[in-house]
Amino acid sequence: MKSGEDVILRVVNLKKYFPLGGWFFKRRSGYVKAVDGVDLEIYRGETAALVGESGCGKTTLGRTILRLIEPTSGEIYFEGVNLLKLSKGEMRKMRMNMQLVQQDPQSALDPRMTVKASVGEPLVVHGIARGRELRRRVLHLLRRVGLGEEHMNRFPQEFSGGQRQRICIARALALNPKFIVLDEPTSSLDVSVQAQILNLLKDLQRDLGLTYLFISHNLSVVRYISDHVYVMYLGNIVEKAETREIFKNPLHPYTRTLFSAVPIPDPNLKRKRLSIKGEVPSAIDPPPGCRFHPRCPEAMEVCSRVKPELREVEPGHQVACHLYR
Amino acid sequence: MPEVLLRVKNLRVNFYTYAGVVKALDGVSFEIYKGEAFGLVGETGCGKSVTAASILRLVDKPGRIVDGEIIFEGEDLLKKSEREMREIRGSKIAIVFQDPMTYLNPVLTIGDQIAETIREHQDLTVEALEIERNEYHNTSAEKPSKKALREAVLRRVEEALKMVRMPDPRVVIDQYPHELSGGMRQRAMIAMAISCNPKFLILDEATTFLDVTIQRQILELVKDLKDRLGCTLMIITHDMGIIAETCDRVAVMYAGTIAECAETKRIFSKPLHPYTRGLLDAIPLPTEDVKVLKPIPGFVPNLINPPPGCRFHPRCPEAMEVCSRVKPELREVEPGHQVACHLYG
Ligand SMILES: Nc1ncnc2c1ncn2[C@@H]1O[C@H](COP(=O)(O)OP(=O)(O)OP(=O)(O)O)[C@@H](O)[C@H]1O
Ligand code: SF4
Ligand SMILES: [Mg+2]
Repeated sequence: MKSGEDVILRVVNLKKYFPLGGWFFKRRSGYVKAVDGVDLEIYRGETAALVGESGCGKTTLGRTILRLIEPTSGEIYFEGVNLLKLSKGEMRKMRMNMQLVQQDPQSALDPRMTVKASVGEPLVVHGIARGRELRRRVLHLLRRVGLGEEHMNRFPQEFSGGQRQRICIARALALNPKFIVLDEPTSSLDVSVQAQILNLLKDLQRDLGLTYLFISHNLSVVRYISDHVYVMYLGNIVEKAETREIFKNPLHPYTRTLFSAVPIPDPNLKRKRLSIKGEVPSAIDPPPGCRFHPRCPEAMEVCSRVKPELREVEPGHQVACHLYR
Repeated sequence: MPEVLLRVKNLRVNFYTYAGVVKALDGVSFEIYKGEAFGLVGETGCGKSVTAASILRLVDKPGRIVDGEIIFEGEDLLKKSEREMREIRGSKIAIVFQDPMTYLNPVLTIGDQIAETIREHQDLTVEALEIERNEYHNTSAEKPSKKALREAVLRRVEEALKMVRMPDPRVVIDQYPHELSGGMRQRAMIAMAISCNPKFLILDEATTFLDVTIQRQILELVKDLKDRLGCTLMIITHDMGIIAETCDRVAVMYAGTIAECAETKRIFSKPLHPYTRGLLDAIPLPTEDVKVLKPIPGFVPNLINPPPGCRFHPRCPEAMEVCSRVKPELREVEPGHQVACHLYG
């Protein structure tokens, strides 16, 4: 472990249930269990990836960790401080350490604000800089992400998708955060530009000692950028391991099917495919027992009854599956 | 020599917008052989969808096909009347789009929508008469009744849904698009597209919005359908992985032009165009740990004022003086391998 197992963020049994239906015509009662008892440990200076398919709860988990969404229950410790015990004012201060970069740079930037205003906004809001100092700092941030003085007074619409994502990253860096949640930061970008942004993120991490939670459905990207991988299925973490290990030796049947479904850009490669039946069930009435059991090729009798706990089966490699006990 | 099913020659399409004329396709040429799976790959806005729309003559205002030929089975589609085109669409050439929700009618059931396509293009009198005589026992009937015709269409609809391995076809027939999951909607779109046995099926980013496990199911389905129906495929995608797995040959597009065209294996083993090489160096691989990605610098040009000469020259690591002046033509540099680049001239 490169950073000496120094845990910067620890999440314990985190849950976020959204009540169903409108407030007036409540046609259905119950909850969407978007995040249902998640434990995470993220080590300082590294990238933890959170992978899974649409609707599995990745974005909700990322936003809940930043308390942009209030959790239903659980604990979140950032550098040992329980975020859920903080007052609004304390949380505001704490949030300077924790930033979010979203998938769609288009909607993340205010079209009426110049690049300088957008990137400088956090500095102004927190009363950190104004005037010449603000300008100096913004310019420094823009240079960090590969932009320059000539971009300062332009508007978001004048930029390409990749440049806009650079602007969003500059903005996220404004308050010198320690930790950034990157929610699908490259999935709206073309591959040639995606590579630029991934390399930029790697450089920034190395130079500034940042820690990332990198949310993605793209396993190739995850393999390139992350140190640890968490695999999420219907609100639960089903597997966690070092990136190398999980790609070499995926254990959970879901992880295996997920990995084998990715198209590989190599026409000479012939792989045995594990096909998967059915579609992702709803998080409203998730299946009992192991949530993956209706689609699992290895399901046993116990799987539909008992929910498997996440447990360590090899050093540093955790799986929630009855096959491993 | 394989038989050519479709030949696109020097296709030019412009969009006349307030901001100026978007030169979306700037002399696109390629050939698709009968029975093959042909890939069209490239980044956002490079003109893949406009190419597909042109083949079906579905380019709408403010767009216009300004030049070129699209020869399908020996005839130029650009010279056909709108009525003739309507006949061809669906029955001979069908398309499946990225986002089924924008093409499925939200107020019609899946069954009704597929039935409509079938009724428009196919004469089911014979099948219906058979039902009338054999099943309704009107042995002397000359013409099928309405009921028998409906039954014949319904059977075709069911057959199409079974072809795409739709779970519970009988239930789905009576469902509305919003009641289906993304994967099921895409299956319904494919069912509609193949319901009239087209010779040529275009899939425009048909799996892009789907999760990988569902994408895998649809890709397997498409491969399987190609074998069973014997139709020719054009697969449009930005994903080199999908190209590698599904296509026999592939054309790489950049900013409204074809940069390179060859057998898929060759494109991966011996890419010639600097853009193709750049693209392959920029994709992370799910099978490799340490690969340093080499991004292509800059970004895709605005097609209102595209760079003169080679449209890739401002981003090209190999650009020479001539590249900013003269547009490189697509030419065959090795048998079956075409490139548009001054390095090979
Ligand atoms: N209705 C329109 N009005 C103006 N310009 C258009 C219109 N439709 C397409 N274009 C332009 O034509 C060019 C090619 O677009 P096209 O949709 O074919 O790209 P694409 O390769 O399919 O991209 P994607 O990967 O995003 O689907 C782009 O520059 C686009 O902006
Ligand atoms: S023609 Fe010139 S600029 Fe264009 S790809 Fe070839 S070398 Fe590069
Ligand atoms: Mg398109």
